[in-house]
Amino acid sequence: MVTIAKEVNLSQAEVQLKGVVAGAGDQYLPVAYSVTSRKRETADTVTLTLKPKDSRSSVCPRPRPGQFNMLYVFGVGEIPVSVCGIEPDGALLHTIRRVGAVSVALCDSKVGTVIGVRGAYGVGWPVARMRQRSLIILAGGLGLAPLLMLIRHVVRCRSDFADITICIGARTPQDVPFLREILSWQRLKYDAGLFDVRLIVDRADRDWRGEVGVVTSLLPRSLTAPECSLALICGPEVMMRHAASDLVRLGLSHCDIYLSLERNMKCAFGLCGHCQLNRYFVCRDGPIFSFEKVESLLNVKDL
Amino acid sequence: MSSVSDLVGRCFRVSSDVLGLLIRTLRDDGYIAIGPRKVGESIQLEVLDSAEDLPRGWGDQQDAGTYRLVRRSDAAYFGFNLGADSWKKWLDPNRKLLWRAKREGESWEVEQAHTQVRRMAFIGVRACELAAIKIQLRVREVSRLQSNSTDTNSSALSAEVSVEAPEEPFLVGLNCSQAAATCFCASVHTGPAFASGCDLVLTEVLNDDDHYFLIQILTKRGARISSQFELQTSIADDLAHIDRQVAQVSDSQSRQLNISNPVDFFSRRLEHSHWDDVAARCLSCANCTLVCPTCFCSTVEDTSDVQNAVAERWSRWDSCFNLDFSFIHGGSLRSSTRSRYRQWLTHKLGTWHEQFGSSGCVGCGRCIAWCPVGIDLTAEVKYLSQATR
Ligand SMILES: Cc1cc2nc3c(=O)[nH]c(=O)nc-3n(C[C@H](O)[C@H](O)[C@H](O)COP(=O)(O)OP(=O)(O)OC[C@H]3O[C@@H](n4cnc5c(N)ncnc54)[C@H](O)[C@@H]3O)c2cc1C
Ligand code: SF4
Ligand code: SF4
Repeated sequence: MVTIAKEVNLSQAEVQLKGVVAGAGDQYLPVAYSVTSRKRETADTVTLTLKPKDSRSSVCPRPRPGQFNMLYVFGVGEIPVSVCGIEPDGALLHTIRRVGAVSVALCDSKVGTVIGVRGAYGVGWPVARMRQRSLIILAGGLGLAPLLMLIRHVVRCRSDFADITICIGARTPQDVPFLREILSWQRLKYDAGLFDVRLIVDRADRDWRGEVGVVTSLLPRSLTAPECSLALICGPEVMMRHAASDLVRLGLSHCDIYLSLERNMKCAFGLCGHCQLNRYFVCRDGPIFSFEKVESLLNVKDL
Repeated sequence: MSSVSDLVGRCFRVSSDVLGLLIRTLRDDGYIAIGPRKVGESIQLEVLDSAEDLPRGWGDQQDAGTYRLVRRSDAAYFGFNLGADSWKKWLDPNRKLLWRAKREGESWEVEQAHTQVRRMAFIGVRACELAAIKIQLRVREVSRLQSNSTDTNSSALSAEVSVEAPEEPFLVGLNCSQAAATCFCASVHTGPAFASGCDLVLTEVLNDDDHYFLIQILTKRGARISSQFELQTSIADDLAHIDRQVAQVSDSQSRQLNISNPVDFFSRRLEHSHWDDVAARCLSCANCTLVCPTCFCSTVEDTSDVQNAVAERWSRWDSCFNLDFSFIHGGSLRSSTRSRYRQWLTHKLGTWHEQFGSSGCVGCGRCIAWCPVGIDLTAEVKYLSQATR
């Protein structure tokens, strides 16, 4: 009779196998939220306020600025949407642009419609690194949505930060989301430090008195203390690449520039594979990345 | 034999008709037996009712872009190599229902997704396939561990959903008797030798006047099933025979894949001109990803019935070769075949290490055989090695 000399260690494989067969069904389950208000921002964007469907129903964890939720419309589909605000009672604010099947259905949903929510996902803006620094916040178009909650925080806790420059760009004056709030920021007065909120449009109309051009042209010409500055950027990828390069020229380090990337996402928990950017799962390792992490990847065409 | 658990860790001889008894015993124990079966002109992994279903006497010829079944001159049970199917067909089915929701007026509720719990027994799992099963497990484990908020999310939901944890599949391993021309497990260290991880491991021994199996019993479960067989004491040379057979299978592999620092290798070659060369041949058909035992990408489909009263979410295998895969409003990010093949290969062999701590390739050679134009990743890597641009 011969006994096997080779290592016999099975417990690991046996225990692990259970997970596979169970699948990821539970991770895909949406929590039911009701639309409690619906506000038109621009011709093609709508802000929805979402509250748990009833007092018995479950609640998604409170999102941090820059995180996103997966929003599901019954029978239509599900898409990633940034959290642009949280009401004092915990209600979620999401601003959505109508571009295709699901976003149109979300924009058209009425007060009372039940929406499925899963989240919050992603890493969010580097709030802990922002304290005592000068902030340069750059938003292109609806890129303002994922930055809105952060800007509200900055406005509320103004004294935690040094100089603050906020640059916002839109295609036309009609496409500026959250216009009234932007104007209210422009009226804010603080005792210490710069607080500059600037708005620019690609194409002006007759009534536009403000600046015309690309949003990157609003960046300061020079910085007094680039080593104490942090930049937070969200918008079209080309714009973010240009802005980040400009900021590097102004003296910011790659690790102090953050940008929010957009990729196709089906699961949002690093399993469906769709959002991969080289080694990263954008849903899990992002969507907010330091320029240091992604610069070389963004320079490769079609990666 | 004193007690069943004494069998664990030992090797016996069993007659060649043990397979029928194995299938019957597993079925009597409540398992669905799944194993190789000739379906049309290929061998697939299907439910087995008896040993009659096994493709006895069949072999195969494989090469880049070629898979053909051939009659063998002997009556070997496992005289063939891998077909297009891998065990992921059973562990992570192509289509699965994730949940169902029912509408009542303006509102709707999600209903528990009934995971169909089946006790499965896999017969004839080869070393490279066990490695692939472990890699797929690792992918799921990493997703669970690293996605920070899903835990809170699912615990919030635990009142609504209970996911039953089924019993892990019963694994009957198989030491290969021969390698196909497409195999290269030896060079990527996933086979052909078995270390551990199965309940039983079979080795088929077939020579001029003898046909029997060596059975290594590795678990209590395995011992319980094997206690039904007529176990014959094995001789010292039997284990040596297994080693010789494994060594022979290993030595006969001509394809190899050796990349000393894979992460660095691919990150330096993202703009290599050879990607254009592959793109000129590749049809973007996605065959390679479908047959690959470790490819895990999936998509979801949200459906509803005609009255829009019942909605379902299904998950289904997807492929990085599909144009839609990287679609965001305005177009696909990987619109060229060049970028899609690059994504596949650099992920499988490079960034997989950074994400999951190993290569995504177990050297099974399926993607080589089932590529309609015979693209061979081992050859492509050789071209890529010649220069960095
Ligand atoms: C992290 C993140 C945050 C986002 N935040 C917002 C936001 O706050 N507001 C907002 O309006 N939009 C946001 N988007 C974009 C939004 O997800 C897309 O507009 C949406 O997926 C389009 O789906 P559709 O069905 O309406 O369009 P279709 O064109 O019909 O889309 C078909 C499918 O393609 C995919 N897809 C299409 N466009 C995108 C895209 N831009 N990004 C990712 N997947 C896409 C989706 O899987 C979608 O189901 C965000 C995207 C990401 C990745
Ligand atoms: S990449 Fe090809 S050889 Fe490697 S595991 Fe996948 S199918 Fe097998
Ligand atoms: S490499 Fe071959 S199998 Fe894979 S997508 Fe291209 S043509 Fe199809």
